[in-house]
Amino acid sequence: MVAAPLSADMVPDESDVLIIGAGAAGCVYAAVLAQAGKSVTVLEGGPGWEDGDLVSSGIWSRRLRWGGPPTLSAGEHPAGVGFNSGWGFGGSALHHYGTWPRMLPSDFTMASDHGKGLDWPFDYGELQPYYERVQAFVGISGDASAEPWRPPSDAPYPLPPLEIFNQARLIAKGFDAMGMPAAPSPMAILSEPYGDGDRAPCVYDGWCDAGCPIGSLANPLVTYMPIAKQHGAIFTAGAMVTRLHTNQAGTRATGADYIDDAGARRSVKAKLVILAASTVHNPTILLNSVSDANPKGLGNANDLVGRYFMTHSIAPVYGFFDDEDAENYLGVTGAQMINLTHQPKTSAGDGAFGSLQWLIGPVVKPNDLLGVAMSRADLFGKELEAFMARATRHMGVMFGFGEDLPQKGNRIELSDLEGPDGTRLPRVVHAFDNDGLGLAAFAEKLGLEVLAAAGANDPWAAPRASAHLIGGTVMGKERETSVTDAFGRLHDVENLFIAGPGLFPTSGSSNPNFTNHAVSLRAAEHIVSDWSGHTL
Amino acid sequence: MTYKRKAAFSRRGALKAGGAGLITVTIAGCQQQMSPVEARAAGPDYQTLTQDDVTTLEALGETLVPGARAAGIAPYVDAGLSAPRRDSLLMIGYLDVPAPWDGFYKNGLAALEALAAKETGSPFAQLTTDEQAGLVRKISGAQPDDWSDNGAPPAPFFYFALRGDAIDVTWGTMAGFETLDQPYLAHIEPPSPW
Repeated sequence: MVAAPLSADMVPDESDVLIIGAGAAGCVYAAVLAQAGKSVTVLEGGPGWEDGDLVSSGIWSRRLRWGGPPTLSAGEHPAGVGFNSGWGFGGSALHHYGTWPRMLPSDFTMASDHGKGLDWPFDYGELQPYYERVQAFVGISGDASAEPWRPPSDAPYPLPPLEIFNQARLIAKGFDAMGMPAAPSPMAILSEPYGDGDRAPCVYDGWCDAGCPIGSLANPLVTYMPIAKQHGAIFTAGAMVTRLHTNQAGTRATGADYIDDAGARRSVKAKLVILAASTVHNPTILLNSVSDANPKGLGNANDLVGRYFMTHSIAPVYGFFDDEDAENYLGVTGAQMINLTHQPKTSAGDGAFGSLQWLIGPVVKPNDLLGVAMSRADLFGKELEAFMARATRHMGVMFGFGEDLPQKGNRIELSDLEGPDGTRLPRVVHAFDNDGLGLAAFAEKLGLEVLAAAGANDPWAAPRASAHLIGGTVMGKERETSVTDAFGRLHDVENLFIAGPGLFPTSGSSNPNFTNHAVSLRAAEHIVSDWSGHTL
Repeated sequence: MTYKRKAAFSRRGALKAGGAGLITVTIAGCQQQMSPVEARAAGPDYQTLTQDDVTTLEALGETLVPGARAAGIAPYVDAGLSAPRRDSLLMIGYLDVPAPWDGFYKNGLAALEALAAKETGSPFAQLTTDEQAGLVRKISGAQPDDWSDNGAPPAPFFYFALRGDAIDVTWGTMAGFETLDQPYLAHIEPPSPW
């Protein structure tokens, strides 16, 4: 039921632009560059999903997660790599939840403001117009007037908020009681018909993470990929890129090797290369692209490729609303409401640092990692049965997303395990620092207080988890502290651009995909405006 | 607020879900597609699990989630282990354990049997439900001193993964939702039954 991959024989030997990865970032680049008249080839390692493949099932949704060669996850607090990765057209954005808060101005100037972490190479104002254009194209539902943390110069959301069901309404009472406003969450999910396409408004059945086949949720299959295809971009599934080619001096990318769906090794050439594989696989491909000119891997002269990897901590908290139908089976997987009262970096007090975001009232299905049963992983047998009978209609849940500071020791590196075509497979090493651990502990305590204030019975917290894969190929102003320039161009290679949340120098506490789109749009348009400068 | 199901969606292609996806089992040498429940009733020839594995897995699954045996945890797990990695639907696929996973399951089940033998002198499947629960409780929170290190995963991780499978096959299906009085609300229904 998955579309057959385009025959490798139909992949052009040479293109203006080679894009590696058909996820959210790759599709934005493909749309902009194809629209500008460039010949664009996109190679994607996974399947060529179509909307009809998106089966409503937590079990079947696992096909959308990473299905390629394994990635090892290590360190004191290993990141959830497999769960947070994508596989095939749409990448992780095919199963993402459409929760699209922007990053905030303070996320861009952390080092300057606090002497911690890194600064972005530009400020919020630089990215703001790209946020506006992306949200106008994609269609975001929300209520800007209800978000006091939102910069007043931001444009209102183009669509009214999604419906709010009992679960979020009940929990919001706790936020209100504690003087913390809860606003409708900004969602890249249509609350009403929007645009001139055939995307349907949300029906609130809560299967977002299995992929939205009606196109209500803004996955790449219904946003930027169709534009790219309309303008001639060629998307090829089952094409796993292993290495990049460069000229002899190692200063210009010339193409890539890949393994096609039949297992054959092939090569393609391009005038300009966009590496948009994923936060993990971008540095993996760079580190595997060893040459005489770049013996430590492409762009790795300063041993920075793979470093400053980040993942948000999650504080999951729950409670029972025994006298109500919490309607926790209605809504969306991401969140119905949001709170950013503790967005200021020092607002969690001593022993903690970073921004905290609450996502309130996601739909909970019985099974899977975020399901009802996993909220009490200690229960089994008759106790679990009794818990399920109580929780299925009466449980409320919210997640505190905590910032993870960029640390050089948290990294994506090559393991000793052999991967395709003699490459080495990646290993992700991660540990939260004391600031991050303090923030997660603060979030857990605060969350339980909010639920108690909401009148929830027997509130409890599940063990800390993590979400989102960020950093590893960070951008910056100086080559001594970053891998790319402010547009994602590798410092030492004029025509090689990195794309995706791996570029972010800080994580903030916001879900990264909206910012990923804005950063990608800005960089893609920069390439178009200076095409000859990058390709001649 | 009363929920009102909205009008049927219209996006092109949303209803074109294929019928592929029943588990493939081998019975008397012939491959057939059927549900886990049907497969168990028909007595499949397991492709990856041995009969000993199946006996222990069904007893463990039933201890973790009552109903898991009848829901077909053994053919479900066997199908997931026997499929190519990219087609496997087991939750372990995104728990960052490199495939293949048959060693994870088989060595884990063997370690549970070794623990049962050491503590009770009997196979896990032949213990009383209280004894089975006692052993599961013992592996759920920490590594028992006498948990085998012969290729078995850490005991709490083994518990977590197998518990996830038992929950999936018992409650993560359309039939499972119904037993919990949980509306399924599918855009595209999964190939029956999971």
